[in-house]
Order: sequence, then structure tokens, then C-alpha cells
Amino acid sequence: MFKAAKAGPRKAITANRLSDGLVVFLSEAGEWSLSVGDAALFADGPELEKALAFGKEQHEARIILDPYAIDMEVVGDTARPTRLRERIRAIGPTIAYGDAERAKLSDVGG
Amino acid sequence: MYRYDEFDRDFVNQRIAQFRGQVERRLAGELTEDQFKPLRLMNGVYLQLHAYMLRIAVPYGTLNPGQMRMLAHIGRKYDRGYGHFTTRQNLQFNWPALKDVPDILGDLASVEMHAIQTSGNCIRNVTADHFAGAARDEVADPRPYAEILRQWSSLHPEFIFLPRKFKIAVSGAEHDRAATQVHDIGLHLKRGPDGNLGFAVYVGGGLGRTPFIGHKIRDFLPEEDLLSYCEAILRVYNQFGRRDNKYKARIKILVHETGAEELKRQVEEEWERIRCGALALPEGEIVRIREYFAPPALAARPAESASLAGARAADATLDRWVTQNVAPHRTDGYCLVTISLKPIGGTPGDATSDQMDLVAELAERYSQGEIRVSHEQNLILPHVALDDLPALFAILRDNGLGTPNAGLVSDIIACPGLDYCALANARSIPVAQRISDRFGDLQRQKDIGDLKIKISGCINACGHHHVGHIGILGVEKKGEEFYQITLGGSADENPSIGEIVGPGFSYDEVVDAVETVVDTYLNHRQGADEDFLAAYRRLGKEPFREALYGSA
Repeated sequence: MFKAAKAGPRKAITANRLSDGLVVFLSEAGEWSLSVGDAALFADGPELEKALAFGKEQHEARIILDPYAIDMEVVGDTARPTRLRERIRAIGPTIAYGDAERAKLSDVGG
Repeated sequence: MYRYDEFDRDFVNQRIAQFRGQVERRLAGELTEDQFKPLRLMNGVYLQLHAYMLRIAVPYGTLNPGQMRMLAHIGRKYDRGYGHFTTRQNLQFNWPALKDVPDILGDLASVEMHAIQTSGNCIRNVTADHFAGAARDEVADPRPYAEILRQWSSLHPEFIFLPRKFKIAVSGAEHDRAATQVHDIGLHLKRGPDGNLGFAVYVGGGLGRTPFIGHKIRDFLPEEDLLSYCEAILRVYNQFGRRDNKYKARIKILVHETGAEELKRQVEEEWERIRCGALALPEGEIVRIREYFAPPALAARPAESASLAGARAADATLDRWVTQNVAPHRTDGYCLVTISLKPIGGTPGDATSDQMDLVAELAERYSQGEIRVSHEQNLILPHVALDDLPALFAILRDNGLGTPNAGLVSDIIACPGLDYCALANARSIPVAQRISDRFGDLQRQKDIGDLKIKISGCINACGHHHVGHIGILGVEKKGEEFYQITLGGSADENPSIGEIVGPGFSYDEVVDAVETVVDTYLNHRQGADEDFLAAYRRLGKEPFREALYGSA
């Protein structure tokens, strides 16, 4: 559905899913994925504009909320958001939480 | 404690039914986000970085075991098995799905809880001293008055669309544990010359991007005038508070721009018009509400516990915990226990559902079925027999709840920060964790003594950094996290706003900087009796600045 850029500065489209608020990324197939690894990467230009317009339609169709473009950087084979805020949105909190945190602290006697 | 009356029950149930319909319409595509957002916020539902967040009111920080178990259940069934206790004595769930929120609210209503007025430009959940109704230094229990304020402020039609949010805190002891002077209204319960109860009234305190200490506009307000006086304050604020600029809309700005004397004159003028009207509190009503908070019947016990003394002598870990986390009760033979939600290296204020269930059980077994949430993000068991402390501690310790650090350097307040919050510019939790780890040695913490570190991940100051003895404010600078350090803040009965000590530190540097500040204090203090704040007030920031940045 979308043609991804293979080089140069690139952007992805992200949003929150309406039903549960979770962070999603627009894929090349025009689907919303929970994994940043599925994100289509766009160069500035018509393809990015087309993706943003699609995001706006999806917002209006009450599927996702507030889509916007974020800067991405490619490290090795993996693309990740450039800004820390977006990295945290993409991968989740940088700290353990809930039972996982309890288990981690128990291991060190906390 | 307080029980719903029929009005509350009917209203809360109506609101849930209404919100259920609104959520259904939103999910079905009949409401836009612009239409839905104010509706969800009125029911405590935010959209954060990763998901929706539900903020649940815990009035004046008081919970019973059934309520705590329900929070545990909700965490398990609808969230990710944990919750976060906040600096406003509330509880937040970080991962609820929108479709589940009406069911969550239904579950909450079954234990007389809700999420109304936990967001929006209205009077928020009224907070109180977490030692209320039990502390030895208490003049009177502040919670009946907090409850009267809750009833008055809930859905008050005149105050649903204030210029900005409005927070009231009530303290009932000379030592202010409720940070009353950094609230929009701070009420300090005291006895007047004739022995009657009343309040010192502070107005215009607040943190956020423009911190202020409140101004005392009444030294003694008789208790029967509580509501009429608060209503007069709110009316003046509602009329004159700025609505043109969100960042200048809190009452603290109005007080600052108007002047406390003039504001007081306006308030008293309005008050004279209404004080003898419907809002005058009848003595019988105060007595009736006070009965909801009647102290539990505690069996007589000797003031000293021989069994506890023996156990402490035999177990240094227990001894350390009792020294640090146990406070004097007004009844001989009993105490208040602070359950630390600050394990070394952990997330301040988080509790798993299993831990919540356990605290509920321990409250039933050891604390007359009472639990409190502190604004410092810990839990309190307010009525524990001294004889029971060894058994209680053993259970807490085995479940990650026995850290003996109440009031020490690792008892850090931290907002959710950039790990969760859509407004944040920098992370708070991992900074708190790294500081906690750095000072993890409990003997070292004890040697350092009372020291309050408070961390906010943005200028909105949910982590109260302005009133930390050491305050840390996270900012974003050229795409990187930076942390500004303030020193000398305090939110007790002698409050002060911390002073910025110099340029900020990177994420990697900030823990070293905190350690430098602490070491500087240790090098300069006049003895272990001079705590950090006292030393800072004597020394000023210069020695700390020099230690951090070198001589100019």
C-alpha cells in the first residue's frame, strides 16, 4: 500500500490505538502494528504525505488517535525512533514493573 | 471511616451508566476524540504515553481492606498486576483498555470508590495527613473536615469549570505531614484561645512551573465556618482567576498578582455575605461526620512492650526497621507503621496486586482494618500493637515491603516521568532507582539521616521537586535528558522553595551530583543532629555549588 524509502532521513507514522490506547505504527501494508519493527519508513515527500493523510482518515474512522510522523534512525539492520520519548513509546517503559520488578528486586534481596 | 450515603451511591452508579454509554459511542465511532476527551477526563481517564491511564480517588488517603483488595483485583484483571500510588494519595493504573473502564468503575463503586474529579478544572480529591486519627502529636483528626469538604466539593455546580484545577489539604497536627502550605487551600486544624477547634487558612500555595508558599489569610477560622469560608475563596478565584492563560490560571497567580491582603479583603467581603447562610456547619453535623471516623476500640496495653524490646535486641534488622518506620501512636502500646513502597532500586509508589492483597490482610490482622496512603507514596498501618511488630515486619520483609527507609535518602518521591507520562521531558523513575541503589547501604542512609529527595520529570512538578531537600527536575536539552538540582526546599510547617544550585547534569552525571551534595552536607554538618535541611539553611548554597562546579 505504501512504498517505503530505503535510504536517507526517514520517518514513521505512529499513533495510539483507540480501543486500548496502545502505541501503534503504520506498516507498508497500511495496517497498525504494535511493533516498531513493522513500521514503514518514509522519506519526506509525497509518500509521507499520503501516509499522514491515511493516518488522519484512520483517526476520523475512530481506529487510532492522533497520528503523527516521527524521525527514525537506522542502527545496523534495525530502525528505531530518534528521540528518546519516541523510543520509550516504541519499546515501553525503560524500567521493569509489576511482578517482573518484584522478581528482579527479590533476586538482589530487595 | 466514611460510608457512601444513598445520594453518593445513586449518583456514582448513574455516572458509570452514563460513561458506559459514552465509551460505547466512542468505540462505535459516534463520538470524536475532541468530543470524548472532556468526558473521559471527568471520569479520571487520561491518555498517556503507552496507553490510557485511570486515576482513582482515595479520599484523604484512607482505604479499608475491601477497597485495597478491589484495587488489587482491578490491577490483576484489567491491568498488568500493579498500581502506582501518587503524590496526591491516589492510585493510578497505567494500562487499562478503554473498553474495560466502565466495568472497572463498576467494580470500584461496589467498594464505594470512584474516579470523579481526579482530573479537570474542578476541586480535586481532598488530601490529609496520612497519620490522621492516630498520631500522638495530633490536635484533632483532620479527616472529618476533609470529608465535609469532599461532600461540599463533589459536583458543586458552581465549581465544575474553575479557571484551573484546585487542591485542598488538611492537617491536624503541629507537624505538617500533608504539605498544606503548597496547596491552593491549606487548612491547619488547631485549637483557639477558648479551646474550640478551628483552622489556620493558607491560600495560594502551589508547585508546578511557578512555585509559591501559601499566604495565611486567617489565623483562626471557627470550624462552623469551614465551608462558607472555602466557598468565599472559591468564588473570588472563580470570578477573578485568569482564564486567558492556562499557565497563569491557578489561584497562586491570582494571589500573587492581587496581593494576599487584597485577596483576603475580597474573600472576607464575600464571606460576610454568605457565612450565616446554608453553609454554616451545624455542630450536630460535624459530630455526625466525626462518628464515621471514630477511633477503633484498642485494648489497653502497657506503654512499653517487653517482647518487642527482646526481639529488637536479638534482631538488628528488626531494630533498624522499628527505629525508622514506626511512629508514636496516641494510645499507649500502639504505633503507626510506614510500609515502604521504596525498595532499594525499585519504582517509588508502585505496589503489585499481590502486595496490595497482603497489605489488606495485614491491616485486618494487625491494624483494625485501616490503611492509609501517604503523599510520599508509602502505605501506613495506623493502629498496630507494639507486641505485633516483629511478626508484622517478618511478613513485610518477605514480600518486598520491609525496607527500613522511611524519611531517608532512598525514600524518594518520583513522578512517573517519561517512562509513562505524555507530558514528561525526562525520566524520573530510573533516576530515583539509581540514587536508591547508590545509597543502598542502610547504615549509610541512617548516618546521612533525614533527607527528602523529590524528582519531577517536567516543570509541572508532580514529583514535588521544589520542596525536596534535594529537588531534581528533568528537562530536555538538545534531545538529551538533563536534570536541574534545587536545594533547601521543604513542605512541612516551615516550608521553603528550593533554590537552583547551578547548571543541570546529564542523565549519567546526576547521581554523582546528588552524592556530591550529600557528601558536602556530611562534611559541613555540625553533628549528626543537624539534618540536611538545617545544615543547608545555615550554610546556604555556596559550599554545595562549589563542590558541584568548583570555585568561580
